[in-house]
Amino acid sequence: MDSIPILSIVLWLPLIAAVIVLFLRERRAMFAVAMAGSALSLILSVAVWAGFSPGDGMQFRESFDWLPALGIQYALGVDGISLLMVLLNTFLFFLCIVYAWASVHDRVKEYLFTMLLLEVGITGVFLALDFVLFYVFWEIMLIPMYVLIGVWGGERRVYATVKFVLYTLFGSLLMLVAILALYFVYGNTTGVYTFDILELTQGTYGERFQLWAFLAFFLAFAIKVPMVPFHTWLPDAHVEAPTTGSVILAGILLKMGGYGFIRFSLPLFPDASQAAQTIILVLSVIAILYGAMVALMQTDLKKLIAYSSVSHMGFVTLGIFSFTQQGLDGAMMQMFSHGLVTGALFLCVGQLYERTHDRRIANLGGLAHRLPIFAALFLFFSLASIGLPGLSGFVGEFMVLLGAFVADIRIFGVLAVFGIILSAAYMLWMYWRVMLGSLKEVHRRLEDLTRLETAILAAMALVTLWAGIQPQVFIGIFTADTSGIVQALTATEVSSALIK
Amino acid sequence: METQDLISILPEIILTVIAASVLMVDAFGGQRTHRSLMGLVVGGSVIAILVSVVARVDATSAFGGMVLTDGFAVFFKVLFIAIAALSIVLAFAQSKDVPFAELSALILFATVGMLLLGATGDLILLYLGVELTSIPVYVLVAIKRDRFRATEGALKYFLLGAFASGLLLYGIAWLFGLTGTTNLADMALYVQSQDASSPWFLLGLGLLLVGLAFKVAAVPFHMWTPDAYQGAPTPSTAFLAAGAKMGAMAGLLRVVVHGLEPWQDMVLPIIIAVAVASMIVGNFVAIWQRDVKRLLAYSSIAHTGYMLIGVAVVHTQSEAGGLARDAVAAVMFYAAVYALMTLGAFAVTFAVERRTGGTDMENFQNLGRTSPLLAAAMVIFMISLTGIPPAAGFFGKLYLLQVAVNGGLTWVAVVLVLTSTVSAYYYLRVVVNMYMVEGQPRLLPVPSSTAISAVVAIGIIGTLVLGIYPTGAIEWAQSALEEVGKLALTR
Repeated sequence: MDSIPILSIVLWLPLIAAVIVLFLRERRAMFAVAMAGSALSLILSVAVWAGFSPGDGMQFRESFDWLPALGIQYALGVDGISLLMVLLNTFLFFLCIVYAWASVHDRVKEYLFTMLLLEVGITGVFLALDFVLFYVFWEIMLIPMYVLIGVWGGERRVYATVKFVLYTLFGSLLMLVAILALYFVYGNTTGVYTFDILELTQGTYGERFQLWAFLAFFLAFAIKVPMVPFHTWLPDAHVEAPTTGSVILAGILLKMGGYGFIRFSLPLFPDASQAAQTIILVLSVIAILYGAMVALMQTDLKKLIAYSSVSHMGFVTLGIFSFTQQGLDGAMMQMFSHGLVTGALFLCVGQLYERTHDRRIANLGGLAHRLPIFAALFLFFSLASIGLPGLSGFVGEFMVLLGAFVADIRIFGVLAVFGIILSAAYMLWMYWRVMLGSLKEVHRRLEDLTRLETAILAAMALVTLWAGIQPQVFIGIFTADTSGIVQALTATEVSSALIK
Repeated sequence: METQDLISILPEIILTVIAASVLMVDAFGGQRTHRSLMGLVVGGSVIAILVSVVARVDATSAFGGMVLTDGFAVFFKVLFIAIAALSIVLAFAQSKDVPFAELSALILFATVGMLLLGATGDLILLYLGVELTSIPVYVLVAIKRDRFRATEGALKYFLLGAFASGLLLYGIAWLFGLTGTTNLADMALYVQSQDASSPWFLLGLGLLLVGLAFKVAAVPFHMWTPDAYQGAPTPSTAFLAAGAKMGAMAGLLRVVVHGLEPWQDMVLPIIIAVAVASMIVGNFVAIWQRDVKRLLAYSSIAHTGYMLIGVAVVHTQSEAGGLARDAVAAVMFYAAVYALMTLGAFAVTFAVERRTGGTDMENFQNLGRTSPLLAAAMVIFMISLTGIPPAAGFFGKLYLLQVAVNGGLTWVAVVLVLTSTVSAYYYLRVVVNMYMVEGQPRLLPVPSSTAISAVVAIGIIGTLVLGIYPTGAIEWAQSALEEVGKLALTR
């Protein structure tokens, strides 16, 4: 496009802000720099969106030789799939840092540094076009998340954060070996040794190799999503994480798994993906139903929303592995929507906790009397989470189900519908117990949301509404790219059918 | 002896002269000379580094093939002299407790041995290098002779080390008897032309490898490591891990690259077995360590295992060209990275020891608040040792994994990544203690030491630079091998 490396600026601005923060003393100045860094990053990513032409593949590309001795490049680029994730990422990070202004008072400098570093890592995952660069960002983000949970977390934070790191590291290191194997298998057949993602996804690989490599990638992504049975780190991490940590975790970190499936697993290993389809669909439906049922039983607000995440992310993998246009688009929308809605729900729970210092549902009740603004917004996001038509959650889930029916895997679609019904049950029941009924004596003096808090939630609500009413705006960003992936998949399906 | 020969060992000569003058100055200069001694050592080391890079001779070897003068030797000369200087700077912070001049001289003498190991083209010189490194290090471990642990560690190290040296020498004798030469290149030529599959070769070879495996602390010859690491004063431990061990690794690489190549069928399974055992034992046993120095000792065993993967790959057959060269370059790069990060980690541990009087996990508690910079530095060293970007350890591991997968040793690569996950657990425990645990050790009124800070800072800069832009170092390691003997690495 033009010579300004706009993606690099979007990517590295938070880091620059983070380094400046290190040298500041005043809380106000630190926040000013951090907000400016993340706001500029957000504005620029919106500018990328404005200059983006859907369907033209990777755009705004930049690259230079980073480590030629090992065939590693610094290469960035966006297509529709990554653009939507980057937008979600910069948006949520900006709001989280604004939110922290009111809520974080302990070790502010370290906190902002960690958050901004985390933003760099996650943005990098979505922008990288070189496998090693991708992997570097994928791992870099581990450390700030570890610190975020471990330092600002709850009582069992050490256990939760170590569990989180070990789980994730286990999956991702195996992926690293698979990446290296990919590098050599591709190099040995074509003579071109490269970590270029675009080039490697063009290659075709033997079925045996596909299976092993798929398995390694699958572990990394399935742990991130997280799919049942790799989900056990999630409730612990969520419960112990500080509010903003939960927002980022649910809002974006989980999306890295779904993004990985779409960007890497399907194009790289089409045969293996098809071979694994049934297993993954079964796991997805188990996640949807099991997550919802466990959510129903939770007594802790954060845990409830954490398990609802497991359930909602089940729709994402269900959509992806339906191998249909509708399913993939639905998965993307579901990820986007889940990022907004669950992020907002975690913010709500955080705000509630700051006021009541209690997250146990049984100890709350009737809060709507004292917190009318909060009650309205909380209701809005609860309904969005259930999938109320007109809000973003509906679009994603509906399209995923459509995909399941189009792909003739109806049974999974039918079962998944029960997940939606269950979600209505646990969310509404939770809302009823927490917000309605009679107010507890200890909560007589609670104060409603401040203007800042209202503004943050309102901004998220607006986007949720926008994506619900005009989903085409968002689907249009990525649908050309997902259709390319689906076409490539069906092409291999046809060819392998011919061979048989 | 010609001038060329002398030029080729000029860095060694310089170091010996500095060591001798350090002792002299100390003997005649009285008590207040520690600072100037350190200046002498650092200045001399810088000169020695410059000399090793600049004063190159045209010939590829000197002293009739005994001393090799290729890029490989230069790479390790620069690395080892730098490590020695940094260790001595670190030791300066305890110059009140230990005889600083003797300690500096011992480190310098051991360094001369390490330089010879990197330059050896002959098994006799290899033995000489091993002994010249080991004997001063035995003393370094025991330099606080009134401490029980120091004496115990040193005695264990000495007894086992002397035994290993004996095995090494015995192996050399066997090989000499069988091939009629101690020169590595000649030996390889002989083996290529003759049938070398007799079990006696295996015996000689096995003894040689056992001796070296002991010196690099590979399982099952690692028993001395934790006690020696824990017992030695921390600066000595730093030198032991980053210096002496890497010296032995350089010697092992020499033997492997030049001499053992024709015996690959015999050597490969042995090295793989030792590498896998080292990774597993080192990483798993480290989990139970309460003392950070012992923890780093077991971690050093694991890191030996990682590097041995590269050594093993030298012996695999692969269609991809230049694999053996890449494998050696990977080990060289990893040695440099490991030396930097482990030196840094010991420097932080040393600072904590001075402030709190111990090196247990508890002594690190709340360091994040009481000394934020030190704690942040330790975090970087720990994530580097784990192998997480953007620290240098990541690229070290990436390069090793790359050659392992290329060499068809994918399963060993998988062992590496799985045990790395295990290692994350204990490295992060140090971080947990610094930031996430309530409670705090009693702080001693010790002034902070500029010397330690300087070493930590150099470690951080090196770890981050090599982690973000390692191109220069990797290309240096690769190009250093282009000059390595014609016979080796040309497959």
